[in-house]
Amino acid sequence: MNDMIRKYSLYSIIIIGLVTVASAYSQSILGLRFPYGIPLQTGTGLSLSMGGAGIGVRNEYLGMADNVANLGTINSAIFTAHASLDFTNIKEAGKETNHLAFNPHLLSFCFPLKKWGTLGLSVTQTTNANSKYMIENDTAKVGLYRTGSSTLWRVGWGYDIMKVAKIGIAYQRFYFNPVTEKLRVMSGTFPGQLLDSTSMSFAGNSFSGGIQVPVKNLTLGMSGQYFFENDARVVQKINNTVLSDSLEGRSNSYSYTMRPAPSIGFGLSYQISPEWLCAADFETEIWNKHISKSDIEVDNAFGFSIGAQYIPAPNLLTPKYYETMQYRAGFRFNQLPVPTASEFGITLGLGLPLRQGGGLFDIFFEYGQRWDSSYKDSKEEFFKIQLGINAGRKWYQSTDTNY
Amino acid sequence: MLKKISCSVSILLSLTLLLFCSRFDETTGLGKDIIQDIDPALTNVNQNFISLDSMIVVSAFSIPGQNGSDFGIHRSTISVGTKNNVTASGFVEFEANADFLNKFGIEIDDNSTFKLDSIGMQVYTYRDTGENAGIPEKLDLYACFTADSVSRTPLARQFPITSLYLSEDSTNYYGSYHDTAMLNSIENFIYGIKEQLKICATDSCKNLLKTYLRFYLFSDDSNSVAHLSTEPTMKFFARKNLDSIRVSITPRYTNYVAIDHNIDSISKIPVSAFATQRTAVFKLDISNLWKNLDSIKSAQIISAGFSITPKAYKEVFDSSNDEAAKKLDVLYYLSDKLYDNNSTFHEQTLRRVEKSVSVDSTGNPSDTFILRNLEDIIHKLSSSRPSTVYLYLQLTDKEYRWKEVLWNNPEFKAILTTLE
Repeated sequence: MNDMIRKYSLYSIIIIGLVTVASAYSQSILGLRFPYGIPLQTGTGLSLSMGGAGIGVRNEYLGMADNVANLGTINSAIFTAHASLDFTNIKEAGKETNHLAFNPHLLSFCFPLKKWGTLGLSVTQTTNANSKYMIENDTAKVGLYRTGSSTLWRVGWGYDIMKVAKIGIAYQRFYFNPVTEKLRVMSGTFPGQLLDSTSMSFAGNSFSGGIQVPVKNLTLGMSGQYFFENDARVVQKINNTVLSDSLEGRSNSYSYTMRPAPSIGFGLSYQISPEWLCAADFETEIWNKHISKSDIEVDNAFGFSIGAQYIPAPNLLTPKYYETMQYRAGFRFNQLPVPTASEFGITLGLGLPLRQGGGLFDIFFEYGQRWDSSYKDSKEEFFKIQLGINAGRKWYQSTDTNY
Repeated sequence: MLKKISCSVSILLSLTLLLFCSRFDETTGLGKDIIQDIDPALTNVNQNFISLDSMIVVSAFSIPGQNGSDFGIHRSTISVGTKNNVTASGFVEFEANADFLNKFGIEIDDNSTFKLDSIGMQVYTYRDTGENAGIPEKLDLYACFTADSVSRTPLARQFPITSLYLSEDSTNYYGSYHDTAMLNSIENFIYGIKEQLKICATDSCKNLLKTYLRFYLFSDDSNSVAHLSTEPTMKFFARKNLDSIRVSITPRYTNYVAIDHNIDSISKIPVSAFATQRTAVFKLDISNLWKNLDSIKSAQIISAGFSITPKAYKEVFDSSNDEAAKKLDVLYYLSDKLYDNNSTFHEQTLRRVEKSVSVDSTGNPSDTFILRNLEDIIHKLSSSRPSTVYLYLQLTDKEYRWKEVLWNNPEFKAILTTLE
């Protein structure tokens, strides 16, 4: 009984905590200059805790997040979810502000289809465009708010070709719906507020594909995605708001062609021993193929990540719990969409096996910084507490297993 | 083991949240260099706002409540008397119909005798206010033989019936009359209805069986006003066979008309008066506003309004304990049209400002009224850009006191912002 009370109390604290911070505001001022906001890594707990290296890693709990070819590895029904608590510290000329938000990142399902391969479904947050800038004096304030994020809905299929290679392909639907508001507020004797609100709406098709080739303990991987052009629709409204009354405003709408940047990545992993796994990725977002109306200069963004995982006793029949835990660490460096902006992150975390092989709970921490060398005084530090849950169940026994 | 680790992790997370939550910011004002490249105007608050006060008062006057009239009409309420060159008289209309018969307990086939002895009228004054001091001792009741509820021609005062006298505690007026002719006519009406109901089968027929009893209320007192809190009640005292009957009815319609005897001079000054429903009007030249707007690129009016000070108050009690007595509720509007009376003006959406008044040591008003929320009107006017606009100020009709305000010239202020 006490266990149950304790268990539910803890769950309550966590849920209340998450709900509380879900209403808080994650943000990056640097991200205002990037077409879709701050790019986010799209892996699951396993790869993200190794700095994001996962293109060349074969693991069922990776789903198709890093490389759709990984679906060819999966022969269980797999569920994966991932979210993070993001703490951001914005610094400028000796001053700083702190921000917190809860961001869900990934929801993924994989279904093995016996000899026809494996089907994957997922939805992933790929960028975060939230920014909330405001300055004020005694009687007036001005602000620039941007809210929104880009999401990728994916349907993928992966196949194992004779144990020689895993291949995969996915259809993706990309959505980006940011709202940018310029706010001018006057208080005092004659209060009033003018809100210049610009809503953008874009939905486009894309494909991604990948391959993984195992060579003994080494696995090589390649993954890429390509987006097709489509029209982005923009609606601009200017409204006066006095006290609580919204007065008649004016609006304007137009469309333009947009195409998100394609990307390609290469990765490898090496199973040094049953205890040790290391992996590395090299990725490029090809921003010079990106099409948009923005006049901000963008450039191809390169990034690399490297990480390792250690399991003290992976093969013991009766190990202690801590001997089955997965200890992971990693490092990543990414250029951001504008040529002068970059970020790095250091990760450290654990994969906690659930009872009776029921899955894996990931918890890891990431510390990093992002900066733009054009703005010497500005810097953003971030600290993320990332949480992931992975669960799987075998629906059938693989027929190619020899006893 | 797993449970212990889960507990530790959960507690750690919760503590981390609790520790940090209090110092998180919703917005940031940092990153000015980055914002500078996106929208330079957003890095300087003052740069976003421009104040304009370019408006000239050309003339000031007041308009009446009714077109071309010298009076104001107040419905469902009655004040009677004279004060500050304003005279008010009341009108009350009762309906006598088939239900009237039922009130006296008379059936259609009833053969009992019915005799009306007298008729009385009672009305209550406002209690617990300074207004009751010095109110008229009596009000005169006149019969009204036309359906004219508005004009107070000399004919209205030709047929006095009786007077209503103020009670000792000043709480009500009461008077009765025994005028045979009127009592007989009401008796005849009752008998007439009784006979007609015998041949009246339908409701529509019954609805036609009615008449109206109309009266005026005047006061001869030249310097006091009775504000009546209730509508007059008419009381009938009668006998049915040997039984005494008392029946009360309330009016279907009442009003009072407040006539201004000083119309020539009052129409030339910006005065807002409750009793006569005069509205103060300021004629304003705003051509400079449009010139200034033209000189500012992409300007939007974020806020616009007037500040205005009263020059003199009447019937506003700064020292009263009654909060309503020292509160002014002002309705205002801005238009490029000159309205000649309140009735057309009332079709507009009026703005409202409420304020408790105060006076300085010399007894002069020391208040400033801020007339906000006019930016939408300025926005609409900006398409036609009239050189002249009119500011209207009137006192709300949710009052009974005869408050008056004489206004000083208003000062205009508009706050603009620029848009990229």
